[in-house]
Amino acid sequence: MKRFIISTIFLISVSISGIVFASSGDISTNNGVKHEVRSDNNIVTKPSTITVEKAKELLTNIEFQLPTYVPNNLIVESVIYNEPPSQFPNGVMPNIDLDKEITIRYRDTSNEENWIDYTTKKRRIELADDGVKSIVLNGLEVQYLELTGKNIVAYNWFSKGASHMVIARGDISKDQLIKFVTSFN
Amino acid sequence: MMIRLKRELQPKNLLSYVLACIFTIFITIFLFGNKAFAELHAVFNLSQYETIYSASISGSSIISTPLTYKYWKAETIKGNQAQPTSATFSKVATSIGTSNPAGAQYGVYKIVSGSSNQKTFLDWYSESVAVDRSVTMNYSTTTSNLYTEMAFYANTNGVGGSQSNVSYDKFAYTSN
Repeated sequence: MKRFIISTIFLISVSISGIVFASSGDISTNNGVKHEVRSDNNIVTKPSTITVEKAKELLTNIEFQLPTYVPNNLIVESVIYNEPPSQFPNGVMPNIDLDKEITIRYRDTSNEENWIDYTTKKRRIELADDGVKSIVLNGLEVQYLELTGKNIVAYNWFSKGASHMVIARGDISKDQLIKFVTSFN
Repeated sequence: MMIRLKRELQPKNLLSYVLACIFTIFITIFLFGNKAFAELHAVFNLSQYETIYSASISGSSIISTPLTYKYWKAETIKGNQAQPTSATFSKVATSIGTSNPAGAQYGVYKIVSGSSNQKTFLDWYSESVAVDRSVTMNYSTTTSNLYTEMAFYANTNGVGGSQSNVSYDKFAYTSN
């Protein structure tokens, strides 16, 4: 019986180790962002959850801005940092400086269905969906997209050497969203 | 040493070892038989001037969550591996998506070229990974450090859930 128990424990340990090892790809971490190589041309990235202060440290390549107006009851829920890998196994080399980005989620404390995601990065973002409109807010040219049926709106603009993209969902009034968007400048 | 070895190889001891092996196999199947471990596979072939790229993908959100997802995409791209010049995105499609537990949703889809702006699409945004969707587009760019990225919210609440469950699937198209 003793031999059976000891042998079983040993074999199960070896099996679990082997399966876990075989199931995980080559994982590298940079600034807390995990990159798992799945194949020569495929990498899955898991962003890093950080603080606003850390975000300012990581995005020194742009003038990191925060809104001076946030709609009632919305507070910062999370801040995530995402950056591409420095190189894919097949040789493609993304530009980390241009493409590292911060996304801040503001969520309504009284209704969690209402939230705003604000993303900023150095590279110029261009919304390419059908139905994108160009509007002017406070002298800024802003791309505006409304996803009817999903209760989602998006604003995207480029200012002071950085892209700014806002995606909002729920019952947040258009006036409040425009005040939020224009409060970055 | 030899005496000890002989004692270990007695039939009753061998039976213990064999039973331990069989028991381990059953335990392993029970523990891992239903888990869809990350197993991504994709075939991209740039040997022709016009190729429909397709990738059948399944994987798990990295490391900490039991959520898994699968999706399929097709992109028609013009290019040549020997002399990469340009790529034209004419269609991006997703289908055969599943998540376990249900609820995972797509986020933003990006096309990032080393030489141009980032093209961002919200067509899939907040769509369940179980929904088929095909989007036509007409976008050409150079193949310089070209990659695409699809965000996944592997969460029962989809994009409305915690951002700690977001992951990004990145595909690189060619090397220079």
